[in-house]
Amino acid sequence: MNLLLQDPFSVLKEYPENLANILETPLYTVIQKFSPNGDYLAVGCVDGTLIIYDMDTLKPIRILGSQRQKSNGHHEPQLEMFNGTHASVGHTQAIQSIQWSSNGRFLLTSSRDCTVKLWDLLHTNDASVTHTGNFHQCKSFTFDTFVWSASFLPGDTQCVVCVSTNALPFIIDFSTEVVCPIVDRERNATLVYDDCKKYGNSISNFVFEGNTQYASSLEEKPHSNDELLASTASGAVPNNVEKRNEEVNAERGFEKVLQKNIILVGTTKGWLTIYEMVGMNRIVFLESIKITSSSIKNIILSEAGNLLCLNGADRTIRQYALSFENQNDYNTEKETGNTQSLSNAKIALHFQHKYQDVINKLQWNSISLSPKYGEYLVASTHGSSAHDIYLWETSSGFLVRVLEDAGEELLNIDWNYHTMDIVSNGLETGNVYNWSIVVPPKWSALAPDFEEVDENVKYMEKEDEFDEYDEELERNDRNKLEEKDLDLVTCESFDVRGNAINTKIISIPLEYDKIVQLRNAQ
Amino acid sequence: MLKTLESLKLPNNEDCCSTSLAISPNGKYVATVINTYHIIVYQLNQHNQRDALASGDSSVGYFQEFKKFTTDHSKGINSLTWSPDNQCIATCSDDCSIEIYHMSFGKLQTLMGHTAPVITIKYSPKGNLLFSGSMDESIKIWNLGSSGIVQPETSFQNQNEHDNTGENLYHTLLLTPPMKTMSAHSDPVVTLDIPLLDSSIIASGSYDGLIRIFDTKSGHCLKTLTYDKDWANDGVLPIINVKFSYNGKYLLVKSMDGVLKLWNFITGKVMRTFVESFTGTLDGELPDVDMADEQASSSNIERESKKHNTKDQMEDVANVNDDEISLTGRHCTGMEFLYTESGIPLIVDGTETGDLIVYDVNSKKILSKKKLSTSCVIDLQVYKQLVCTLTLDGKLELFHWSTSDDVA
Repeated sequence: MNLLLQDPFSVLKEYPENLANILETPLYTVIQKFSPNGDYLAVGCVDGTLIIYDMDTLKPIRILGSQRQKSNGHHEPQLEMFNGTHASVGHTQAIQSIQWSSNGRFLLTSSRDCTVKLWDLLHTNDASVTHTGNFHQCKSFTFDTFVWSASFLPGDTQCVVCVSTNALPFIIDFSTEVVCPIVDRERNATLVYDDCKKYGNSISNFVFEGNTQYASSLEEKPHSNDELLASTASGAVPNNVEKRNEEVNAERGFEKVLQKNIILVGTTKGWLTIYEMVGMNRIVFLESIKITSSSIKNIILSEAGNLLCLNGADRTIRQYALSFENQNDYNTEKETGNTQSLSNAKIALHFQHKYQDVINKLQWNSISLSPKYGEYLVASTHGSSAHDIYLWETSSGFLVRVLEDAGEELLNIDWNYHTMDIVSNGLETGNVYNWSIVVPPKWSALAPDFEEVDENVKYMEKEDEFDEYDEELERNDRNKLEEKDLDLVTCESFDVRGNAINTKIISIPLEYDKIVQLRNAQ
Repeated sequence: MLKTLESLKLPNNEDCCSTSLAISPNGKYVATVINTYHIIVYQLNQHNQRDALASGDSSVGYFQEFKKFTTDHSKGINSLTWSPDNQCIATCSDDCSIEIYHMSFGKLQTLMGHTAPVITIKYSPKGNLLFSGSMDESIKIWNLGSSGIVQPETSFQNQNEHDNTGENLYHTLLLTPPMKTMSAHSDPVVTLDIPLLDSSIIASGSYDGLIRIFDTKSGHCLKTLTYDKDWANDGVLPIINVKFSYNGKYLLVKSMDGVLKLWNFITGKVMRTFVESFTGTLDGELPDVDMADEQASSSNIERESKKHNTKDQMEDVANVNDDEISLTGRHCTGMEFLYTESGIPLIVDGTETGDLIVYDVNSKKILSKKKLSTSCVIDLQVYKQLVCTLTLDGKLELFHWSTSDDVA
């Protein structure tokens, strides 16, 4: 609502321009993510601590999983099962990925300590334990290798987890706490299947309550809440060199589950492989395209799924337009509820632009697209001399802005559209830089009949300026105005910038018990 | 029609009066001030509501004493409010401080920073910020969210060497400085309101007769509304209450003369005017305000002060309020929106003369008028169709609104 009253020219800027503030995080930041409507920023630190910042106050409001493990003195990853009494809640090594659920209630984090954790931010008391042995505040799933990333599937009840030893990702169902691998049915199914089986056994040792269910789900794939996957999610599959799957060409790469159920995998050899997810935990190979000869560092998709950007180690970002050639067929299929067959789906990739720094030949650390249709592409630069974030317009491919003021090399980037904030973390200090649209104060608002003008205007008396009004007429005018029915209840569903307003977003409760604890300690 | 469910005489000592009333956002509790420094919380037995309405049985108690506690304020409490999570009560007082009490943990914080009595407080819908309006003519924003956490001064490199890094991240500042101060009014700020679903703006009303809308993030004034073209001159009626509509698009404003105006604050136009004597069309006649009479009597705030405060307090008030005594003659009376079960917006207005009036927003008709007391309705809160009123003579009353169709 405040945007309606502000200077429209400032409000409707399409990208942030000014460094608004710097969050000096107490611990070294490795990754940061905005909550869905930009109220909070989750910051993942190098020691596994998660800090949640309130963007209204720019102060931390929640620190997840820092205290216990440190006071225990444990620095080794704890792979044994929680017994619910002394185990640490938080991650013990650097956070790899953070994702918010769509209502802002849950945080999904993965870490180098081989765990994936689901945090419930509505629970403030991290000591209470559920009957399954998990904490109320946090559900933990332990794998036996490094976890690359974890991300929610639509509906927030499941997530895709990508680990480093396996070519294919896992799916975790949070309600049943079942972990199961996604199987490539068509090609080398046996290889992957065997692989998973072997792998699965080792996993089941570490998974809560999932042991028996895990085995059955591996064989037959029955699922109590078998919601078929159908739409956007993302994740990454890195592949251990030893267990390299030649056919998939994935030594180390990234994967994206695209709109509907397409998965894109980038490899270190510069291949982009496209899979389709058919139903629960099955995928089908579609095609493989050679993009470049060097490795693909990042793959990102715009929210609407229309743009694909690949950040290659050859110092080039490539932008493709994505489309489904039989999209209409797909839609009708979806309507009839038949999400099983999409094998004739064909993704068309149209090369659009190439972004590179021709003078300095800079590598790009990380890339990000502006939300929704990805009108802008931002990239942070690699190298100690480069402290900038480049911002291009994707439709024309022109560089429109360089965000410079950071003063150090920047790593991850996140862009929130609701608040028009870009955040990026610095390599040296670990601080988080926040670029925002700074709306200038409107001094004329202080006096209701003032008007702001750019330069002096000679006063000209208007013809009716000092006319005496007929009070009767004025009153009639007012009465007319008051006759119209008013709607005091219906809320706007879109804000000034055209974003849908989600009123179901949850605000994070305060930790009163902690305040009291500390008050008593003093 | 308004049906009286219960009427309760608050256990106030003589020459003490209750100043404020607050229903918790979940409708389960009613908190009010008694005996100057004390808070009493009643459980609101809503499960009785339907049965009692049906049987007409008035013996079922709606107010059940739940908790009583003493605040640390050294002077009278002006206002109290519930946090959006129903767990805390914030109080503001003539001793210039704000205190926050947790229902089970007791006192959490004292917020100091105002230089004059704090008249009104309001939580942001997210519960992370508290806004306060004071007689020092400023509005302050307080950060409650990270009150338990402040960042250590040492950098992260040093931090990593310590074993108990986590412990250092937690500190308590019992005295949190205000995050922001907005001093745009030239008289005491007596009322604040924030839309229920949108914490980006806050409206303030002041005795200087202006309604200002501020951006909560930057603290900039976004809009000023005033009744009068000659707003800069003397004689503008003080604003005593502002309230956003549910969707945050309209602002209901009550001025000292008891007239309610519904503003479309985006366009700056008055969409409705509600006058007590008024029955359909606007006749332009405002109720006569006898200024001389007003001068003789004292304001709500001053009267409060006189009741339970010392002499220097009086001087305080006098200093701050020197030139506007002529304007302040009446109490800050309560007013709220009420949405019927079918979603029709109504306005419930408590008047200076002790009447409770219900207006229909669209037709501007008076649907109901009830005499509650000979003194004024000092505060009024609405939860769904329940109306809870507090009169200056210390009577707490609960009403249920039903449109005539519902009764039939």
